[in-house]
Amino acid sequence: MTKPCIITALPIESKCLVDNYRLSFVKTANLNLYDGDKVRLLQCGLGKLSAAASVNLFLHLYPQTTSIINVGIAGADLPIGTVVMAHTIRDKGSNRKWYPHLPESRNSPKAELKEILTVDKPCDEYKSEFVYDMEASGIFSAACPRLNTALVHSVKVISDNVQNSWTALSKNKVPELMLKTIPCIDQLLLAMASNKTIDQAATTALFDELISTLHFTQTEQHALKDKLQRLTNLLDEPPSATSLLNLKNAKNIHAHLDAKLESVAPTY
Amino acid sequence: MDTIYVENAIAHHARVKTILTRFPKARVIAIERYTDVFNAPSQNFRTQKANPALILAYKHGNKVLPTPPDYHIGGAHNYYFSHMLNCIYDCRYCFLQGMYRSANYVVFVNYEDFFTDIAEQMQQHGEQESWFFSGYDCDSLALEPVTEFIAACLDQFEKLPCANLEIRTKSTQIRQLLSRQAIPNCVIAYSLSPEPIVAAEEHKTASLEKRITALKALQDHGWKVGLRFDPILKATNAQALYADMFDAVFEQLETSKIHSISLGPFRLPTQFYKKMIRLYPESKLLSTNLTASNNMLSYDPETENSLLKFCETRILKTVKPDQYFPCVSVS
Repeated sequence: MTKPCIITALPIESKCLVDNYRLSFVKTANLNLYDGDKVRLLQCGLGKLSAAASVNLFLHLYPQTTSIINVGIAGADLPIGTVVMAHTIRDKGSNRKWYPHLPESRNSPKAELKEILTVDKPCDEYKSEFVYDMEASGIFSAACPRLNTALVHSVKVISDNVQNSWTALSKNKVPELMLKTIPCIDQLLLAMASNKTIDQAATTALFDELISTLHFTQTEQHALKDKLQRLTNLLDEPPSATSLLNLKNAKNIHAHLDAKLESVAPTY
Repeated sequence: MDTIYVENAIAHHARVKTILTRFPKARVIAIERYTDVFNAPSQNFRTQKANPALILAYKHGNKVLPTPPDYHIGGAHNYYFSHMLNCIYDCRYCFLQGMYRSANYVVFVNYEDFFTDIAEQMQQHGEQESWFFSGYDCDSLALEPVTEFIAACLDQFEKLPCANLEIRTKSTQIRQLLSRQAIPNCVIAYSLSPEPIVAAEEHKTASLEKRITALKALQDHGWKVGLRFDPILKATNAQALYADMFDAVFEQLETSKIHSISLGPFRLPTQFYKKMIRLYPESKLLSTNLTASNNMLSYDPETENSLLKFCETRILKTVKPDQYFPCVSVS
C-alpha cells in the first residue's frame, strides 16, 4: 500500500512517534519496521551506513512508498528543543550534498531551516551554520534515486549544544524532545500529500487484462502500455477491452493501436 | 517566489540585494554553485513547477553562443544568450521540460559580462550586422519586473548600431518598453498560438488577445515587432484554429510594418520527448504520433507539410516574402 515513511535511528527516538501514530511492529527480515493506517516508521540504526542499508532494503520491499521524513535528535549551536528542517544535507566525509525541494512557505512547517552535516561519529563541534547528525546523508543517498527531492525531507530536534554536551544527554529527555517534532512531521506529510499523482488506473486495468489473457513479450508490453495510455489521452477514454481481445494476439493488437494512433489528433 | 538560493560569491552583489528586497518573506539559502542545486539528480520538473525556487548566480564561461543553423531572421551572423534559465510559463510543448532536471529559475546577475561578450562578438564582424537572440532558454520579458535585464540590455544595444537584438516573449510585461523611446535595432517578437491552444497547452501565459494588444501598443510606440508562429500543432480542427488566429492578428496590426514572421513545426529532440512524456503521461499533445529522424521527433512529413503550407499561404497573402522566415522549407 502507498504510504509515507518516517525514519528514525534509535528506539528511543521512535517510541513517542510509534505511540503518536499508533503503529505496530511488523516482522520483516532485517528491518525494524512499524506500520499504521497512514504512515510507516523505519528504525534504521545508528550511523549513515546502517541508515543507507536499511532504507535501500525498505524501498526495495516497499517500492510504493510515497515520501520519506527522516526525524531525529541532532546537535547545533541552537537552544535545546529547537526543531529544524533541512534545506541542505551535506555528508562530511564526501562533501556530497542534497537539496530537498521545500514545500511552499504557506504549507511549510514552522521550523527553522538549516544545513544538516552528517558526521561519522558524535562530535563536540557546533559551528553555527550546521546542524550535526549521523544518518541524514545515508538516508538521502539511498532514498533519492527512487524518490524525488520534493519527497524526502529531514527534521531534527536539537538535543545538544556547546552548553549541553551529547555525552550528558539523558535518555529520558529524548522522547520529550522528539514530541516537539510531531507538528512539523504532520505539516510535512500534509504538504507532500498535496503533490498530485496522475490517475492512470483505467489504462492500467486494461493493460493488466490484456497481458493476463494474451501473450506479450516484455518489449511488446512496454510498447502496449505506452500506446494504451496515449490513445486513452487522445480519445478521453480507454479503448474497449472486448474489441482488443477479439484481435486474438499481440501483433494484431499493436497493428490496431498503431492505426488508431495514426488517425487521431487532439481537438482544441 | 518563496525560496531563493544565492551563490556565496555574489551574496553582496548590488543586483542580488535589489532582487532580494522584492521578496522580503523569501527563504534565502546560501549555495556554492548554482549547478549544485540546478543540476542535482532526483529532481522532478513537474513537482517543482508548482513551486519553483529562484537561484541567483554568476555566469562563468561563454555567455553568447552561435544559434543553430536554421535559427535566424535573415541575418548572416546569429547568436543567442540567456540571462535566465527556465521560464515562468508552463507550455506543454516546451523543450526546456526535457532539457533541464530542475524547474527552478536561474538568473545570472553579471549582466555587464553578457554585454561585454555581445560587443566583442559584434566587433568580430566589423561593419556587418549581427543578430543576438534573447529568449531561447527563458522568456525574455516575463520576469523583467524582477530582473530588469532587458532595460539594461536596451541601454547597451542603443550604443551598438551593428548589433540587432530580438526579444522573444509571450509576456505582456511591456510597461518598461513603452516608457522609453523605441530603438531601431531591436525587435520584440511574440510567440503566438490560437487561443484554444493557448488555453490548453500554454499554461500561465497571457491570452492571444492580450498578446495582440501588447503587440499593437508596441507597434504604435514605434517598436519593431515580430511574430513567431512556432510550434504549429496538429489538431482535428487545425485549419479553423489557425485561420481564426491569423485573422485576429493581421486585422489588428499594421502588417506592412511587421519586421518579421517566422513559422516552425512542432519538433523535439527524442531524448527530451522521452523525459517529457514521463513527466506528463496524460498530455494529449505529447500523445500524438510522432516520427523520428536524426534524433528529432516531429509529425510525419505529410502532416507537417500540410499544416505549414496552410499557414504559409495565409501569411503570404498578407505580408511580403521578405518579411517571412520559415524555420523549415515548406514544399
